[in-house]
Amino acid sequence: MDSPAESSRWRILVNALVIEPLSEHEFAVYNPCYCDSFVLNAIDAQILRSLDGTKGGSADLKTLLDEVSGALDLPVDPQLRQYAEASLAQMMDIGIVCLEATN
Amino acid sequence: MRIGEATPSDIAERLKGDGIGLTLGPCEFRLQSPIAEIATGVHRLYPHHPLRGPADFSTFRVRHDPGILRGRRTVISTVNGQVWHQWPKRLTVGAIEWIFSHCIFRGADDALAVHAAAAVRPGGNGGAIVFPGLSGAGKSTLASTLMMSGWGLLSDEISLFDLDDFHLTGLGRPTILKGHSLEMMSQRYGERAIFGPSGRILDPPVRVAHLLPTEETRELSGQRFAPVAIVFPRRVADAKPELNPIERGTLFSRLSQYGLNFRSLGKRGFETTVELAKRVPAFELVYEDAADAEKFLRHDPLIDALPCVTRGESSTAAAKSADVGKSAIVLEPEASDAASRQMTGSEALPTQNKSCLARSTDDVAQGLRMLVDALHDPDSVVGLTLKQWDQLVLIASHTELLPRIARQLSDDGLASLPDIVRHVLIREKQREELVCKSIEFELLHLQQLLPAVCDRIVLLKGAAYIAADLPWARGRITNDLDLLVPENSLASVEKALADSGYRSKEDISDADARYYRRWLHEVPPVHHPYRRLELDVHFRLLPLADPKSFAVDEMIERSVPIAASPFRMLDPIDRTLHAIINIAHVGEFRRAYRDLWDIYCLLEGRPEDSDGDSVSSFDWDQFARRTTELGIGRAVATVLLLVADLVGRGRPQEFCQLLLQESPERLRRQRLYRDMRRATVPDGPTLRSRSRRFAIWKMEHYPLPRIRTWLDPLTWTKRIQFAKDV
Repeated sequence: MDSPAESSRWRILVNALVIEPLSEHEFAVYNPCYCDSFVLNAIDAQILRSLDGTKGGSADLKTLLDEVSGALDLPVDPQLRQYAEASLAQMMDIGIVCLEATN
Repeated sequence: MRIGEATPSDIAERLKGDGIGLTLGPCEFRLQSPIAEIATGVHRLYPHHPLRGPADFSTFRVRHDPGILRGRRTVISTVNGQVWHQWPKRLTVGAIEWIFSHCIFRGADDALAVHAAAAVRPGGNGGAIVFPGLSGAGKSTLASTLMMSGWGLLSDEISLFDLDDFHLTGLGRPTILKGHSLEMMSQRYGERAIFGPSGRILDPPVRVAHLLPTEETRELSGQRFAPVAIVFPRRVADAKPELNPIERGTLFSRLSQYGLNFRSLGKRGFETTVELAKRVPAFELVYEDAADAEKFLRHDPLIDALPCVTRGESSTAAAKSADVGKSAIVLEPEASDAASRQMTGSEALPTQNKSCLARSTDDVAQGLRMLVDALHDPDSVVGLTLKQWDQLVLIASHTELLPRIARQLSDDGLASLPDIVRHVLIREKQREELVCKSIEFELLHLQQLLPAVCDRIVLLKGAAYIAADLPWARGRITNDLDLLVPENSLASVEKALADSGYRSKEDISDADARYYRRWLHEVPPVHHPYRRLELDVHFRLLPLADPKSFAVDEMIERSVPIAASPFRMLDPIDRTLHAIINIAHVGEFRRAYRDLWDIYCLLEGRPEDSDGDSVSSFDWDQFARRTTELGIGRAVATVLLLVADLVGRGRPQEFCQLLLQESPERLRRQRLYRDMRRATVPDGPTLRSRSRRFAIWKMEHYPLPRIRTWLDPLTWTKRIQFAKDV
């Protein structure tokens, strides 16, 4: 059975996020709407890029996982799914994405 | 003449009068205090600084005044007329340096201020090593040890990275030490370590004192140095000193965490931090004893090999010699001291305390006149002298109107100002932009939650002005976000907020929460754990305990939508009424000038006001009718008269007669007007004379609450509120 996170769509809340690579696997992100920043790893950064690149700035978890898998050459497995859910939840805590309920 | 060559009593006399001027790094200070311990502290801590009067314009006017809190003696520290902190008397000496540190980071509009020590290695390539760390990380002990071992200490507390070229500026300030570190430095360096007067802190219960800068360190004051490395000190028992590289991501995170003005600087702060993380080598220094760490850093070949880093290039020592002088430590004193250039005749003048009070009264009156002129005509400030700016900044800062002056000033006007003034205004603009962004970001999240549970969410005061982008309100600072919701939607709004993680402050007890709901006009304030902006959900505009409290359903019903937003704001008349009763009944009179100017703008409008609040559109008849219905005519008329007398240049006093059938002259003789006026107008050298504080206390208790409020035990602790010193 799908979790609520899977049956919903994630939407990016902040336009014009700045993603700046610090190294191959570390990315500094700047939120211009709140003037704060944080560091993401390659998977987190790809999730954010994929979400930002979708039409309307929203996507369901499966679409996001497919995009991340394709970009980083990772298998879509329960571990990646679990990681992506945790990552999106943290992004929601800091206010850059939100979860949209779907009917 | 230097401060150390004068007698302490001479210093005390000067501090009691016009004060003394001090240049610390990029900031010019004017220090005033009638407290003898402050004079002793300055005499002991700054003996090598020139003894001089204040400059024409001081970036920060710092005062330390005696106060009393719950029967105990305190020191009230103010910066530019705003109370920054009230200290127990035993921390009098500590207050001198703590407030300077606060000001130095607040004054950095073109530098990233990082909570870090920085030092230049003797015999090195002239670059600085930066040691970031929070309080208790061992930063000050290590910095003091480096200084006593011959290093040039740029700062022990705050390092300023120039946004353009990353260079750090020497501050030449004393280092604060406490407890074990203090004893250790005394024992290890004997008479070479010269300390100022000591005080005591309670958590942990230890002695604190300042270690004076060495000659090498003093010579670096005002000089600029490129960084060579960022080193995070970590004390570990039984560890031999070693340097462990730190990844860029960790460095970036820590710099942004320790960056005191990181958010204020916006994208420039982010870009600078990214560049620093990419270009400056970073390490963790593991050590047990600071002296061992010093020897290790002095001789470590890894540090030897590191070049100076500036924006856009890594330079060798030779390339940087133009920046740092011929050698790392032996440098010429800064000749182009901005403060020296703008030094005034007051340097040569003897202290004249007798006329000090009269002078300060004139200064305040003149500052208030310039403030009102600047509000009506923002570009009128162009052409003010530095002395006039000094008065204006003090008054505008005290009344929280400085950001508005900075924001409303045209770009050309800003560009034409003297550098030292322009930087102050740029800093205010940065602060105001950050406040706006914080409010807008919070609203972005609230609009995901609240419209689903309540279809009429009304934004109040500052949040409404920001959301509606009212031109006259640009530059108005607000510290919280106020919402008004129908009483029958209160529970669902609170639940939606709680479900999304919003929480009350930890110090709100159950009794406090009951008090809020039973007697006030809002529920206990909440905040999001990440953003931490205070959110006040109102269900009324006046506290339930207020005899004039009224239901707000009609106001919510006639509220108007805010363009491109799911939120609403009160209609122009209710908005004005709310601004008036907010100051008259629940107001904060220290910044009443700001609120009076809001009311003036709401009434008179401005030609560029896109909201249509122009002079012709304000419906005075409707305003009078609603005022009468609510039974608040006296308070409204009195506030309107204050608006006319203090900020409105005579407008709109004719409406007082309309409301009360009383002439303005008669109203001015009444106690309510006199108390409000006394509470509003800054007064005396501290801007909060005893009579003003008493008037503020009286206004905090106006009007007397309903009699049944007094019988509720929940209110008894709230009732016992003595006249506040601050």
